[in-house]
Amino acid sequence: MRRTVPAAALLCLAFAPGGRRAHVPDFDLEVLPLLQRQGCASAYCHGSATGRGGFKLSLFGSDPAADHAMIRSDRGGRRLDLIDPEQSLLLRKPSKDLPHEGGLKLREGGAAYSLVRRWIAAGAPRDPAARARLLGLELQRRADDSLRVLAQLRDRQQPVDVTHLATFSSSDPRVVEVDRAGRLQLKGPGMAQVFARYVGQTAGLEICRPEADCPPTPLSIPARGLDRPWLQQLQRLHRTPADPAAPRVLARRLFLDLADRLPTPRELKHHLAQPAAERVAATARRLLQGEGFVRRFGRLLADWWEVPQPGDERVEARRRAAQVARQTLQRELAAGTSLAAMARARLDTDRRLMDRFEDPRDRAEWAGRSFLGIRLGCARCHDSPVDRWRQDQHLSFAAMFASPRPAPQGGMREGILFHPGTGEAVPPRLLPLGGEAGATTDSLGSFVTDPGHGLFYRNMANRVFGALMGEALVSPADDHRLSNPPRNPALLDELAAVLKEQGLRGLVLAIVQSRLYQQQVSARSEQHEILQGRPSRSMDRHTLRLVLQESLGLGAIPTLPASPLAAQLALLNNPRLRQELQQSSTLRALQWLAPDADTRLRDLYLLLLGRPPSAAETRALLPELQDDQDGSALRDLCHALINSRAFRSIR
Amino acid sequence: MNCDRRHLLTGMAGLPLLSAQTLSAIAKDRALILLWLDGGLSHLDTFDGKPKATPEVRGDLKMLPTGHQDLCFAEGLPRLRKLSAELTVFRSITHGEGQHDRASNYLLTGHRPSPVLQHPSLAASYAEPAAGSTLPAFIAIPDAPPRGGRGFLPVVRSPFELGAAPGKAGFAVRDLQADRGSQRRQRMLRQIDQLDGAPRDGREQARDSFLAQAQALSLDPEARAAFDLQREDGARRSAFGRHEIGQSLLLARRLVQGGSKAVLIRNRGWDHHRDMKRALTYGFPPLYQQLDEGISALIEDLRLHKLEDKVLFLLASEFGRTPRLNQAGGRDHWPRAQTALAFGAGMQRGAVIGRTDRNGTEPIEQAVSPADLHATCWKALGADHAHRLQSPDGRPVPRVEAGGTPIAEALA
Repeated sequence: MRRTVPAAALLCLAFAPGGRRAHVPDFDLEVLPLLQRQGCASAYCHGSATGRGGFKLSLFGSDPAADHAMIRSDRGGRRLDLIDPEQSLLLRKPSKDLPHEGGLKLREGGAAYSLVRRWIAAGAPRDPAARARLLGLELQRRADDSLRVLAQLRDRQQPVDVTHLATFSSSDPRVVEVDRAGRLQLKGPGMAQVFARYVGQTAGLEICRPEADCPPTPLSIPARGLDRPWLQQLQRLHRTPADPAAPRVLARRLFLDLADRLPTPRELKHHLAQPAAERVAATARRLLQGEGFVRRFGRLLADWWEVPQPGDERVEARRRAAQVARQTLQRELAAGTSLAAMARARLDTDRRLMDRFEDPRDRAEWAGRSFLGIRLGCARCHDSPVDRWRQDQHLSFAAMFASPRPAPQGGMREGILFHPGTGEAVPPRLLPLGGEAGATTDSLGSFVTDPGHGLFYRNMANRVFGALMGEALVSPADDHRLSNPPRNPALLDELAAVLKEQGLRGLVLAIVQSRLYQQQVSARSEQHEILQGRPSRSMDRHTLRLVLQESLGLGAIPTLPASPLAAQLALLNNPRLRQELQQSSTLRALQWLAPDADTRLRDLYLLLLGRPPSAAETRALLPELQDDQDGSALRDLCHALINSRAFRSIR
Repeated sequence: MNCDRRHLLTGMAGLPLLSAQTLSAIAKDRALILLWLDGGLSHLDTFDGKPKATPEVRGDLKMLPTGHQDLCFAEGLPRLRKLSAELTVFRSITHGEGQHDRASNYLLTGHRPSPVLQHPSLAASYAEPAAGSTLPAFIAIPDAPPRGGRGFLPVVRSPFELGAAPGKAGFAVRDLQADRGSQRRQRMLRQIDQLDGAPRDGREQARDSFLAQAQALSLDPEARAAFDLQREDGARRSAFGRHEIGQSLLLARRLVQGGSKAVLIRNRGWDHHRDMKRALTYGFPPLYQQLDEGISALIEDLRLHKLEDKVLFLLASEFGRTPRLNQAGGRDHWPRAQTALAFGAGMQRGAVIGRTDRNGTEPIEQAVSPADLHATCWKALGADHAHRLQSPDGRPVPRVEAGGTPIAEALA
């Protein structure tokens, strides 16, 4: 135990710069966090945009100066009684001495109540420099499963205990809950993080809850590679990986993921004929050089970077622009351009994607979401309540995106963003992303893709992983922040490192070769969270259309509607699809060239599901194909198969 | 055993399968028809006329008193003028979002746009799928605007978008009907899916539920008939008007009659930055006539079918338009004042909420936020606007943003 002083007394000592006894509670560091902890400054209470009952606080205490003015001077200072502090509205309302819609928030005579009272008695002062005194935050877990929050202040050697002023949260209440006092309540098995937030800073702590019923199984963990951090985490949780998927299931998964199509029966045969240890790598290497890879990842990149779907644009010029932007991405991918270079081009030379937005703030937020994987949007209106971004940082970063305009003296003038409130020019400034960033600030592109902070690589690696695994490590994928941790932090580090060193194709190759990728589908979604087994995915409507056209030799069929029920109806009933199936060259060849119904059934299953039918399936379906002179039964079977759950899923 | 309603309900709520949500779904039998005028309806040229304003404000279009309170409707809306005492008119809706996308978000969901959360629209949120109806709970004609969809709700709450415009000749919803020879296919599909075993996870379950819905719809001629406007007699179709708005409203009535909970009609082309008069009085047929015929026929029709206490009709758009005509004779975006109309279930007939100033610039009486409008609609539909939904990141999010309060005067 470092200290034995009771918390309330400690408080008085803690914040006094010289440790003097006659301490006046600090507004920014004590009073405001206290109100925030009681929920006073939340969006549903006084933190709402219009306040409550005429009393408005900044959301989550993001603007202490305004809050101080509101409490101290608004409405002629009627909220405070400096001579008789107990008569202050600020105390009488939350202690329910007067009616208060928000209920009892400060118990009269309690430590929190007396802190606010002492602050009022001292004249309700505020030190504008107080916030800058807070250097860092540390979260510790005591033996009795309660949390302790320590703040490092600039002018104090010993860290200060601020547990009673912090707000707590858990990343997964199914694993651990944390109450207002910071006591942990351990729940079901899994990994989670608990967080303490205090004066705009957050500290996190990992909580690992192994499966109670399973004894720890020693796993053989490789010395390097993607599987290492994954297996390490499973071992800590007393879990084991799911079994690997059957070779045929894996082959179908691999082709759909890397080539945007199904394997032909020949390719499948060739793939399976290779030695088990090498076949995935060999096939993947071949597919990575193909057109399908460019097509699929071009489409993914375009979606990640928010290029509109041409079909969704109503104006012809915009439709063409979207098409061109998507083609450009595909061309660059085909040429082997690195993702970082592609992103740099979007920010520095070819600004068409960015210029879809007129407001520089929209552009900055787009760049944040697309390239850095962070949401700056909150900070447009207030300091982010969950992340580290402040409103002024948002605005000066947005100023970097203002368009240059012609200067009166000739030539071009750098873009200027004017402060929406004051009308003054905002000085452009890059975001403080941490790491060793700051070296490359010659252009927006090189800043965003700077390996020093590494956010670009983490973001893209997370999205690539999500596309191949069905769920990203950080979800939502554009919301990387301390309080939204990856499901396996070490794994994300590893993925980002591979992307940086070996590029997109290298990362994809590393992922598909891992045991992690090759696991079979498992039913329980809580297992997916710790990467035990994997979720089933379904082909998106673009892939589905291409697969039907290519595998069955169909002519042009319409893209399925976006509305899922309409898409399902089209797949069942669309007359054009039916007609194309009637003329399918593949089905005709099967009908005329296959010697018997048995072969036809087998070949169709191989073609669409990548496996022969089971004995039960043969028993059920073969009778339907007997005496099929005109091929209509084969067509019906094909139509049924493309509607089946097994066909539409990527397992 | 004590068998009063409260005991029964609490007892049932304890059962794992019947959550409070399902109970509320069982309790409500009301439906919503939302006519969304995409682009921003000019309040000054339709339902909040200012005949005494100066010509730069008034424009070339004539406004006439309706005789009900001080309401002035456009000359081009004679039927609605007559029905004005039946309508609930919200004249004083006001907010601060002047951009289409952001304002649509506010007016469709009842929440200001959030960079971190896409809220479900009123229609998506209200239309909880109920057992026993083959028709989809939430239907969009011909499609849903970008902010009119399911938001953060699960994928099974997506709208069924018809993808076809009822005003066009030969209108039919595509791919609804199974062809004649489909039995063998259906049989094979059932066998294939059965032999495939149980759905592997939640996503495959969602696909199964869409397949079941699609098959039920394909094979149920009665449910499918709801989409077929040919089944209405010619006189009725003509009464609604042979145009987009009229036929969409008629179709919407058929759909809610058939069991849909919410029908969202998206009517595009209301962003009139040029020549207001031309925009509203030209065309085949003009927009005035479409609104006038369509809405007045719907009101008559709901009465005729005794649906006036079951169906809530709401007309809304993202914002109003500038009080002064611009140089091109059009009006630009104006979120500070706009009008919405409602009729039917839960709404007070003839209530006129608020008033704007002499130029229609902003409310001078009883300002109403889009959140208030939404809270009022939830109440009219018999549900609690403050009920909290679970967002994907685990936060409880109220159906309507904090501060939204039902307007008592508008409610029956």
